[in-house]
Amino acid sequence: MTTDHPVLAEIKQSFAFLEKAVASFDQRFVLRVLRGLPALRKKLTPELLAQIAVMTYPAGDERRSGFVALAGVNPNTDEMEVDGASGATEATTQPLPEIDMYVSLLFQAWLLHENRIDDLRKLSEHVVARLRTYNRRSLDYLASKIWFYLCRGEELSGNLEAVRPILLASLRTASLRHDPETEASLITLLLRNYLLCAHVTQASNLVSKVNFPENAANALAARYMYYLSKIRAIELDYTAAHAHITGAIRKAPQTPLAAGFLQAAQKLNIVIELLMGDIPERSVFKSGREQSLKAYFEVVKAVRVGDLNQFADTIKKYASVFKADGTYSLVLRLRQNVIKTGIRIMSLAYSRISLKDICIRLRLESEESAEYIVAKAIRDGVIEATIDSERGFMQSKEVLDVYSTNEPQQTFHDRIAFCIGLHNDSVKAMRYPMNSNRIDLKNADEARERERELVKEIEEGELDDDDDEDFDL
Amino acid sequence: MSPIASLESAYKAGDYEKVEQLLLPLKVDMAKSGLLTSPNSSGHSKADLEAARTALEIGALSAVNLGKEAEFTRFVAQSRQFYGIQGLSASPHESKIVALYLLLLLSQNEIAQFHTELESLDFDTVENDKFLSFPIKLERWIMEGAYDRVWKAITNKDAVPSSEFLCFADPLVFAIRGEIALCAEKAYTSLPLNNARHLLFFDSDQGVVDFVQEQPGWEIHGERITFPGVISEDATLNSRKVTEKLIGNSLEYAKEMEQII
Repeated sequence: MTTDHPVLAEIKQSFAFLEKAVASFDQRFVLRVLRGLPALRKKLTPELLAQIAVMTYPAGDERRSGFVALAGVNPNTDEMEVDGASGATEATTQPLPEIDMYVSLLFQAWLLHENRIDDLRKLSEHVVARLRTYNRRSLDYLASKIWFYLCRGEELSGNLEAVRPILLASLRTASLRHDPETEASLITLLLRNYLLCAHVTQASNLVSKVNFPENAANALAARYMYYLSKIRAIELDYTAAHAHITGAIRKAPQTPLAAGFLQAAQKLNIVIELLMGDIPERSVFKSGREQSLKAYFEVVKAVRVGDLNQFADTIKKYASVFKADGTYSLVLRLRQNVIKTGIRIMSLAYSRISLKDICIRLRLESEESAEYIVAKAIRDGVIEATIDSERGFMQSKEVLDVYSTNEPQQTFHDRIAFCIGLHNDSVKAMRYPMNSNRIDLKNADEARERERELVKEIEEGELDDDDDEDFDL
Repeated sequence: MSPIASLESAYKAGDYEKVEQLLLPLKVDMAKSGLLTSPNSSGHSKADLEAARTALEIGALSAVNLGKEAEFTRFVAQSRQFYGIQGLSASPHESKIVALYLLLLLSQNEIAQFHTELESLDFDTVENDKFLSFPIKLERWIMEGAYDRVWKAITNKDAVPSSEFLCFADPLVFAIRGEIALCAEKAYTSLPLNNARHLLFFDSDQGVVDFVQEQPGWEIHGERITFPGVISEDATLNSRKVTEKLIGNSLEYAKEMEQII
């Protein structure tokens, strides 16, 4: 038999890992197989896939013929014979469900890569139907990936509504079976689905009804937090949105593959920070992201200066960018922040300024509007001032020394809370290999043994010491 | 005359009580055929769907005119099920009803819900639609604090896109009056009655006096309203709060540190 194609060898190794995972109940082997998937996907060819199908399923199995048909290449028995004695690579027994699903996953990934969306949808339907007949915990990680491809297929063909019932049903099954991976994956997929259709209420309801599994993979948790942040931002709960989006950015994988996600998260973060009245740091716009964040940079500039005209121009100029990013409605809300910044600048610069001047400088319609707007700014805590209605001016209060207030204490508390949260998250994120406690136990036994010997020696030594002391004296 | 046609003629004549009466048997029929709960293009004919939609929309509009908010909300929820269905001809009332619903949310101060609804609309249509752009303009002004413009827009018969919008003028003015009162407390130390009347959009001084009496801590001395000095009064209470918070935080740190060690 000639040596296998390198990709086939890799896949065979994956099969071995999957078998090992099933035998030892250790999910890490599955994870290892899945990690290789993105790289493997690029190397797949129809010929290889057909061979994989032949290699996996016994002759006469309809899955075998189905997959071979999908690959579009006839099961080239000639090559099989060239490869070696026939039957050497051909399966004779039924494959494990894990391997069956893994092969399906390879096909899904390949079809998506080839942009054969209709075939992908048909295949996904079959695969999911098969998947739901199994109830094996070793399938969890594979299942979560399979759902991803199913949803992607439906999304690309614009079938968002139709796929929802099956997702919800599976979510129920997954949570009943304590299958956190699939649960987490399905929750994020559903949220994405709802947000794409702009069903924010449903998305918000879903979030309030489900518990996102704590031990889900980081990539999924990051995605979940991103969607959550988006929902909260739409609901005007900016503090929560900001907490979630920083979490998402921190949890996102730091590989080039996640660059797109990071960029989207970064954009949302900028807008949320602006809405909270903060100005994002300049460093956010550096480090090779200038181009993608240019529109947001311009908005930040306008908000910082408090110039309404500049703000309106920027929005008009980059409207299509914001619409494509799905942040347009959030950016529009920034108008009030622009006004507030303008008022704050004026309150800092003048100790007393007439409402008429404010009106002119902010380019407002009337003095009356200016009075209301300044009053609102005072109430929102943007400025410390009072209005003299009769004489029509705004009087700024003396600037308080911040160190005489609780402000430093509060900031200090925020930082401590952040550090504690980070520590707790890191502890939770640690993984412990299974059965390692047995090794520890063994070690503990050994240690105890050693200690006993030590005690014995010391006891014996003490006698010697006594002698020594005697000697010293 | 078909039930829908008589419904429409009653609505056009402005006889909203009659619309309500006519709708009752229709709703029973719709509920029986499933049009009320789960309308879909496979189970119902196009004509049925469009007729049901029109009936519900007229119901919603007349509920507005009768000032029945709860009923209006229900009709909106029911008729909006139809807007997602493919293949129906565009409804002439759709944007008007959605705009009225947005206005209702504004008058109830449900800003979060308002934005959630807004998100499901298409921006380009929103900005160019005379009905939909109205509540959006109002919301922008409210968030900025330009209350006088809101007041002018909602109470002026020529500025509103259709007469139904005037029905929300009272609750909306009531809502923004509350907002202005909160702002005034912080922004002024005292205010002449005359200015307060303009500020709070009252027609008479008596209205102002009544309003002032409803606000906790507001007092009238001669011709001026004085507001409670928020800071001086709360000083002792405040310092107690701060101390308690500090103790709470310290205990929290101690707990966390213990966990780490």
